[in-house]
Amino acid sequence: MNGNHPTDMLARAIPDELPPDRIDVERIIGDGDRARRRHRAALAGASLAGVAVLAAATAFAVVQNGAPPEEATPYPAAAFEFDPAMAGYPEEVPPGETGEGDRFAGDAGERFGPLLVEAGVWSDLPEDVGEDCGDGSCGSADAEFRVVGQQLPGNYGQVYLRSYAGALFLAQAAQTEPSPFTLDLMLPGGWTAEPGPDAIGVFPRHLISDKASYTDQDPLLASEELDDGRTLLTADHGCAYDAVVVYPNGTALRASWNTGCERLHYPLELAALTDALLAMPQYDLDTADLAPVEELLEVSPAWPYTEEWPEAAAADAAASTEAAALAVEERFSGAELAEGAAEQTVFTGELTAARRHYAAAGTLPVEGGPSAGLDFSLRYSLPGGWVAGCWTDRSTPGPYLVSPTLDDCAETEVDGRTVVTQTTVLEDGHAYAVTVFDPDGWAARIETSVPAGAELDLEALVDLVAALPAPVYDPDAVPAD
Amino acid sequence: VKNQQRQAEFRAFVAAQRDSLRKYAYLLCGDWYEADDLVQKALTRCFGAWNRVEPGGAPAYVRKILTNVYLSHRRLEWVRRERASDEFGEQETDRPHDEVENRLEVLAALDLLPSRQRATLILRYWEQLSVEETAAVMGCTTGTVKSQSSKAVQKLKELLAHSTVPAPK
Repeated sequence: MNGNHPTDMLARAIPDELPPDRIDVERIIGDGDRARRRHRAALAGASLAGVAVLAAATAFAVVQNGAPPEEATPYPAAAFEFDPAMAGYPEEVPPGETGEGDRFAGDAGERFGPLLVEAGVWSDLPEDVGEDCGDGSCGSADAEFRVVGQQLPGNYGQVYLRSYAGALFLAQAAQTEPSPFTLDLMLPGGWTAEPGPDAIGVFPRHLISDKASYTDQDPLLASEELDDGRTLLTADHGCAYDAVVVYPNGTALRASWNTGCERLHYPLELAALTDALLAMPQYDLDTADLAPVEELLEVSPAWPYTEEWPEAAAADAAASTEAAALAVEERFSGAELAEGAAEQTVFTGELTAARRHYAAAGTLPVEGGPSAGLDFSLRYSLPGGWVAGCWTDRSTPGPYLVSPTLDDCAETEVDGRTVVTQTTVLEDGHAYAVTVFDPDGWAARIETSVPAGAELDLEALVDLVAALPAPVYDPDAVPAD
Repeated sequence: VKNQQRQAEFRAFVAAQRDSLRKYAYLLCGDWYEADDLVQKALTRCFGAWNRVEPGGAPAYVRKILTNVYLSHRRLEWVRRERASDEFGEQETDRPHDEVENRLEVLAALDLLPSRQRATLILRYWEQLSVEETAAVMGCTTGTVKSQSSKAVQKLKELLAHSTVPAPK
């Protein structure tokens, strides 16, 4: 070894004499034994739960003997072979709205119902919480608390977070107001309780924002590690509160209450919210699909979704497709391309961030093709919110711009630019899609179906897409880190 | 008797591993208070599962737990920052100035590495684990271990290029 080897360098960080330690072996043995007993009790509980008759008989025997299970905890821990914060689920079906979701809605109705009544959201508590809150919803018709399974993208859809999301659905008169109360049950994976920016490009995602979000005031943040293994975090925004409790099994509950940052007023003390939150149980949820993120893809920041943008960008879209039409005409005399429109696409489960595109349709005169010309579509994608290429080993695109197809998604390079070609064999011809990724960050894609006998092959299409000019956009407006 | 034997085995294990675990934890977090906290938690979980730990597998197992506890701590870093200041902070003052400065520069550079890169680097070059062993502890592929340790060494080289500490080759 020499002085510049990483091992020697690390050795320099260690002092010759270690400071006295605080490691308490007796406490380790005591705590370890208790954890082992809790584990055994939890295992016993789990196996008994599957045999209802035996479970009832055992419970009766326990009561008879006056000996409750030793050291039982309402919050048994779960062990993961990886850091669940750096893990996620595939984009599939969000958790169902039955089972744990129903139980969650019922528990929420029971614990938070009195607060909703006190704040005037509900006129009264449901007569029978178990009966009235058993189908994933709870409360009166004018302010129903509903729970739905939800998935939220992590790192632009490289993985997904899963949760049961509960919110109040207010009656017609108040529908323009956001729900004054939300309660989310987060499955382990892809999130951190540490406050930070809540954005699609930040992974793991933060359950509590450390920035002003309800008003222009930064929140007052606090945290508490409880003796029972749970951690409570709160963000007091003055007129609204966010609170998160993290459980030893890696699940979390996140509650938000808006006392009146907008027009309606639902008064509540933060302590009442956290009391109700801490009265909720820990849920044992299905994490079978949870897998670690081995390498985070580097994705350029997406655009904020705004309803106004397509109209504001109409002129740029038209200019872009007009220039593209000239390039197409040069190669296919008589080709036509209609005026393009600006459009934006959002991510599954995330409505605040978007990708921006210009799209147009046209026809190509092709020997042996339809007399009216071969229909094709052109789409430019502006830089921001995607990765060049195709996620070839997945069935979903994730952060990549190109959606993979099961049969073909080939990547090549033409004049220093990445080109993805996709070919699908049809009954009477082929469907082609060619996407060219420019080093400046934009992409152009043409899709068409070529009937048998028409003289247009994939190579000609690649040449055509590679010859398209850059779209019109302001590079300085592209979102940056 | 079985329980006493289990405890005796574990005490011997702690006695043998105590210092190396503390050093490993210290390199991970750069703070003796937190390092001891990490070791305490890792050993507690290890003892809770002592009956299930394979003979000879305990050193690797406890390092895996310790690494996971460290990564979880990093996720809750904001929680930790609220705790009272650490009690070892003043111990550097009776050390020769250069040695202390040297050490703090390395620790400051390590602090600038992402948590998983830092853990990978320390497992590979301090704990001397193979790529495969490191991948098993980190719960990732060998390719990720290679890329993470390469990035970590490169980053340290850049960070220490202008310091009094020789940059790693």
